[in-house]
Amino acid sequence: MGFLRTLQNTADGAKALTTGARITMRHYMGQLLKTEPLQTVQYPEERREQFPRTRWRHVLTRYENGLEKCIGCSLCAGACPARCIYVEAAENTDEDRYSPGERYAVKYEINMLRCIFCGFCQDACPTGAIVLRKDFELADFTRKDFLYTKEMLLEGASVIPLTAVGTHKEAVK
Amino acid sequence: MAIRNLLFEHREVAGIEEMDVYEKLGGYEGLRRAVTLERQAVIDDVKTSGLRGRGGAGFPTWIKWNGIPKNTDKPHYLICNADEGEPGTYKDRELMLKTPHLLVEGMAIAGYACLGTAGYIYIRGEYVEPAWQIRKAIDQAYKKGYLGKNIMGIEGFNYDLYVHMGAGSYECGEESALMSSLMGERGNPRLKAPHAPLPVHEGVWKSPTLVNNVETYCAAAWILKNGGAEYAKLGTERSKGTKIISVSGHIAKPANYEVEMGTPLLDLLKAAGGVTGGKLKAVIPGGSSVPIMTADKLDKINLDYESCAASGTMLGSGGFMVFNDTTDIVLLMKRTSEFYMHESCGKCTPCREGTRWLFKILDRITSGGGREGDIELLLDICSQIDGRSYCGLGDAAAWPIVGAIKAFREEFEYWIEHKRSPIGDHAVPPTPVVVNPLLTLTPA
Amino acid sequence: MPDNRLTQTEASLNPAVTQMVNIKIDGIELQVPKGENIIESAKRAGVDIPYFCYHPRLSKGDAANCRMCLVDVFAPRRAPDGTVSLAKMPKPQASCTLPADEGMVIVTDSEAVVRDRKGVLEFLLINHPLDCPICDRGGECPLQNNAIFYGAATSRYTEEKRHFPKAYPLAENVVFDRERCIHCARCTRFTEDISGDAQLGFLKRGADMEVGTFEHTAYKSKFSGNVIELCPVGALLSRSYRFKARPWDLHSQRSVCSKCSNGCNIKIDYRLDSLQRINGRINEAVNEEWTCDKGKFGHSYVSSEARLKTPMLKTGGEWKAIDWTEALQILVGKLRDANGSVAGIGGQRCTNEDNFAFQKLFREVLKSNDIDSRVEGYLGSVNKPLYERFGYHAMGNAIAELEDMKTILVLGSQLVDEQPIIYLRVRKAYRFKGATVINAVSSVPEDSPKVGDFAQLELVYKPGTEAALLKGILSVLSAEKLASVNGFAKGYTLEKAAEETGVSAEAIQQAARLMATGKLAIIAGREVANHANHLEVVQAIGDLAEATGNAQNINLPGEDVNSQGAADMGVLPDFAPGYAPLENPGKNTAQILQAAADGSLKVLWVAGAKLLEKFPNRELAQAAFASDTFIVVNELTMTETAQAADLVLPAASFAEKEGTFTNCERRVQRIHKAFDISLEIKPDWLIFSEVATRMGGGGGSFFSARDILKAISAQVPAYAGLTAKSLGDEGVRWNYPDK
Repeated sequence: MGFLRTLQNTADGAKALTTGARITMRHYMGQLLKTEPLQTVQYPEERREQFPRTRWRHVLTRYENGLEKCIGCSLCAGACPARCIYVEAAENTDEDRYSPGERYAVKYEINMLRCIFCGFCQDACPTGAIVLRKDFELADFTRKDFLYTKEMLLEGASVIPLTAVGTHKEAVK
Repeated sequence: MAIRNLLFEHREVAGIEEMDVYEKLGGYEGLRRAVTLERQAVIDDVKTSGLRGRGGAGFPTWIKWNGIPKNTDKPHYLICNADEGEPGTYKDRELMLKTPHLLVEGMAIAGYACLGTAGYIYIRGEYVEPAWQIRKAIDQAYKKGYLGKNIMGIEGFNYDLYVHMGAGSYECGEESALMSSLMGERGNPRLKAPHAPLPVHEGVWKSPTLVNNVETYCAAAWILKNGGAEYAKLGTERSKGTKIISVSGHIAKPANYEVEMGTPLLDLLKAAGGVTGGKLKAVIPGGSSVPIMTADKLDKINLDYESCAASGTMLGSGGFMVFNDTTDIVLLMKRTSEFYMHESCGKCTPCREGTRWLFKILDRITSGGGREGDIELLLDICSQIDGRSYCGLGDAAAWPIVGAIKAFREEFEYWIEHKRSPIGDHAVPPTPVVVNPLLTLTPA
Repeated sequence: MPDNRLTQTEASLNPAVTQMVNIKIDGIELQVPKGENIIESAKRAGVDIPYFCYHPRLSKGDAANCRMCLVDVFAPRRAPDGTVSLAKMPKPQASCTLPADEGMVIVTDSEAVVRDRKGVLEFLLINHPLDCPICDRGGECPLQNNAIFYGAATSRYTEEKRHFPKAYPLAENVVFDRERCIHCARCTRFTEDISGDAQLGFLKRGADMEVGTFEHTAYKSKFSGNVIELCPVGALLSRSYRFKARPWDLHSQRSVCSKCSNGCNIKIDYRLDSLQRINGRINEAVNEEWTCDKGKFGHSYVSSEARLKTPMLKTGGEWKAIDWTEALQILVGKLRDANGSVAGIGGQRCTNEDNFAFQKLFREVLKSNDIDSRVEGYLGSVNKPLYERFGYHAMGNAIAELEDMKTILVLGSQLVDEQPIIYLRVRKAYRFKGATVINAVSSVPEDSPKVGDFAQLELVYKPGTEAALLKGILSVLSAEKLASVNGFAKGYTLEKAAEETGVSAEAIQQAARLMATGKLAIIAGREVANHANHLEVVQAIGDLAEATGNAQNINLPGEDVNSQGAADMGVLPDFAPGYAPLENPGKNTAQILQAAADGSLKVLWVAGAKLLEKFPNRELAQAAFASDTFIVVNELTMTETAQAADLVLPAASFAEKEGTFTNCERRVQRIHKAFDISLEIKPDWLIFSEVATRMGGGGGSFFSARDILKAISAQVPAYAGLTAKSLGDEGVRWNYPDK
């Protein structure tokens, strides 16, 4: 009986193998002959389109006239469950105006290591200044670089710390 | 004829504002009679007369007089409310202008009955001439010994009378705001019963204070001269005596008419010469604060407190305004609400914010921006002001608008729908020509 | 003097509780004192009534204008036949002024009340700008809270809102956003009822009404900061805190103000390591809930850039930052070399713990009694002026007791500057309790508020003639047989006093008569404390108090935050902690400085005392600092005194350490550490303790502030049994054993 069972097991194994191999071969041939669409995306050369409500990197947006939408109200910091946002406000003057109204954020920092991308900050924002966009490539080399400053977050500025970009006025241009 | 001139008995007599003429015609006899009576007997006489406050509320006068505590070591103050600010009312002006001694006599009698230390006549700032007349009368009364120390030889009856000019605030005609203003504070109303003691216990300078209208004091002078029973013969069962009605508007003979209480409203209209410039449309019987009455309801109204209340309006201060059918009620209400917006003291929220909101809505409607739902909004705002504010000004701002919407809703709807007046383009009356300049006298 | 107690604040509105009445609020039956405001009764019952204008400490007379607290009231009405039925009052009533009466039934949750609240909020929000995100009050705003709890979701107002320029500069420290004002009159009532300057009032009327000062002059008050906390919206804002932080950014720590000896309870609101604002904390016995502007706005030094962060050594006239190891090495070396020729001055701004460690270090380790906390005024034995005669040193009364006085004499003091919270009590005694205030002072400042604004009598005497004035008063008391004077004013006549002091004889007579009417408290200020003949003046004060039967009501409050505590802790040349007399007293401040100037002193340690700034004999202080004496200073910043020293050690401010302060009325109160500015900054006690350890320990080494408090309660009789726990939030006032 021992022999029969061994034979039976071998037959079952062979059947499973061929079933599997058939699927693999079918797709392989399909890809080879281009009868079925490609599933693999050639990242980073190619990028898949993201879902409309994807939430990744934060951006501080501007009005069309270039003024910042952020008024430094700190509601995002209040809403943040990870307590990763730090805002310091100051008063606009007519000579040195950053945002409409009286108040603007002089410091705006997000600790991206702590951020859980819940989007509550975007929810809480009364002016729609902070939005979570689809830029997801956030890896970096040192912990310090994950402390995103206002200059980095502000629309029109690059991901690179703003030492390269200059002040907000240049960023507007 | 329903005209009964008691207080106006001598108003046409030349020189009645002078002491000698006034005395010749029986002046100061009331005071002379009063001082022969016990103090309580004077109050009882006023009680017999059934006199009720003529400032608008109709509170029995003798209860106030009786309420002044007899055994305090504090001074007692008497205030005459001559801050006649109610639009359409000008009876106190004529009383003070023509017969100032009647008021001085009335206040002296009240001073005797209520153990007064000093009396203040709070005259509105615009009444410059009446204030001159009153000052002159007070000077003459001092000379004759009707005021001052040991009056009429009564040991300890020391009573001084002062004139205090207001600064032009409607709100200061309200009893407690008047007291604030008199003490030099901002003319804001103060806490009232049950939140604070009544003025008769704690009024100005925390002392017992009696506040009455000009007409009330004048009536008291007549009552003490002729006896309370004589006064009680006139009028209806609960509203005794006479009431001065200031008739104005589209009427042939606008003037002050002293009528017996209970006189049918239409009789007064007839006496005043009837409506001019069109058919009768509406009447406001008691000053701008009371609801407006349409012409078809007027035959049921008699001029007394109860009958007016039963018809859904008030006798108020007697500012009787007549409107013919060229009147646009919405424009009238806009002007009324502008008045209350301007005169709100600003102390409490519903009146301060609500009166301006009312005006802004009416202003929008009458400039062609009316919207559906505005009428309901107006009514709702009025219900939020009425009874929610400190003093009566909030109520007074709300009532006329509620009354007007009730009586003339279709005119509001017309304005909202057609963006123009239902009366036509002549709805806005021309600015009246001032026939008599305000100042005709010179200061004494 | 005009009677400015006209508003309805008097006893008639706040009658003494004589009986309890039964009322019912929302079906809850309860007993409350007759005449209590229904809004307070509702708090007892746990029923929430929203309000804006009501404030229990402000007068009732001008209140009830926000109309937020309207409730339905049913009052019992007796019919002619004797039956009692409940009748609803026709109008809703403001519960913040409605006095409770027997049988009243209050309904706060009826449909009408709910609608009224919605209506009032809609009215208020007509003109209130909805800029909550940038408003400093947002997050702790009564209007926000009430609008969320009781308001409608939307407004039907579509017209234009009112607009004003933002941030109107109302006062030095207060900016005013006129758009946000809801006209609750809390600020105007505060200036009238509490601070007494009555500078804020309403201008214009109706919807145009706005808060302002007469003719738009600057609002100059010593208490302007309180209106910021009183304001139920963000209309009145702190200039220094403006846009600094939102409430949820802040952490709060309980503390005690370090600006004067009154010991106001405060909250330090801080963010990371920087102090953002100071708010008052309720302590009924001390400041109630008020703060003065010095306390509220004067603490920016704590987080300032100028703070010292390392020890500084002066070498060859140049300052050099060194580390603690080196600093302590130098210091210990100098102290060893000095061989007992060391002295210490200061401690009035330090905690009790600092002072205890200070005197332990000197007495037990350095074996020197030359230690004194006083830098100005009277420098003799502290027992001399009052203790030997009446059994107490500084204040006979608790601050709160001043309310119960019939007459209060303020002598030689700009009270509002020197003792702001005592000033507020005096003002309260006058305004709400009917006390009579007499102000005797040598010069009258122009600005308001001051005691003279409401004093019944103001006696302006020639400087230095306090004793003559008091003796004149005593002679009147004796002449008019108002009090048994025991020959205190022998040889003194009214005329002589009038001539010497320059005060009219009638005024002195009047003052004497007022003082003989009942309980009299005497509060003496700086002019007495710094008087050349301090003992003589205090003697005369004592005579007056004794003659009028008020021997326990003399008050000579100290001025610095812990001048009382430093003395209690024995930072005195002649007393150990708890005023235990020493056998061989040391030198007092003047003598120490003299010794330093003579060159006979090797090391002088100054613990936070501003010698060059405050010591009356400036030449002596300068000579001492110019001498060869090695001078160590514990300081927060490079003050003038620190600049003149040889070694400066960075000390922690009150916000960075644990400990206790003893205020002028002997109330021991805890302060709590809020944050660290730098780890290189040490509390004073730790510096003393580390030096003591390096010098060989003895009794001077301690592990923590709490450790020192334990030692204090074990060794100082008056502080016996005090622990961090028993002090609680409100502190404990210690009393002399025989009192």
